[in-house]
Amino acid sequence: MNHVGRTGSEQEAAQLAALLQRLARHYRERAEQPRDLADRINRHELLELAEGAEEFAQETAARAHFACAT
Amino acid sequence: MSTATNVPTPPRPFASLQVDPQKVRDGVWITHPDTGDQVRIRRRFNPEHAAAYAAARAEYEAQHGKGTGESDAADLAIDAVAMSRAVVVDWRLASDPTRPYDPAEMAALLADPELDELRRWIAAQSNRRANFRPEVTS
Repeated sequence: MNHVGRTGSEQEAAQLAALLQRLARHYRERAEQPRDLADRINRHELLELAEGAEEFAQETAARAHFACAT
Repeated sequence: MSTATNVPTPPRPFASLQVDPQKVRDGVWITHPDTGDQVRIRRRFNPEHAAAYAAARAEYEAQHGKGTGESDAADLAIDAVAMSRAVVVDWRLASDPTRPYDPAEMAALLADPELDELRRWIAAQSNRRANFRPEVTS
């Protein structure tokens, strides 16, 4: 197996993990610094979305890591 | 008289985490409380959703140029396309119940900043375990 470079699917997984982390940050920032009343009202929902994206980002990153290491 | 039938069955450990795999895979109908529109949604981050992200990103970069898929605008556009293809699988519009589901139109709606509430509602509903629970948990 290739320990130095990344295969296409590993790279895809790493890119997906990065995208999900950015989405999680987007939702978390809106929850913590609401842009408007809707964000204030839906703070709990925004935090749930951030947590969901963070969780999936971690799973995806781990898959990419293990695929790379084996 | 047997007492066996009177012994309560202990609750299954972690029962509150149970989801119905068929609901996760095929989706469940949910109704928007204000508009009455219905969407059939799968659980967010199912395997098809991950694949849809990769395809949406590749399409975005093919359209906008290599390396453009890493900005806030790109993230939201890619997320909208992935959701329209792999999370939302059908709709019943209150205003036009026979209109067939159109993923491209749904992607455009989900990407519209004026419809941020729609995007957040669908994302939140598809993220919520309670929507995908089995009818009866043991």
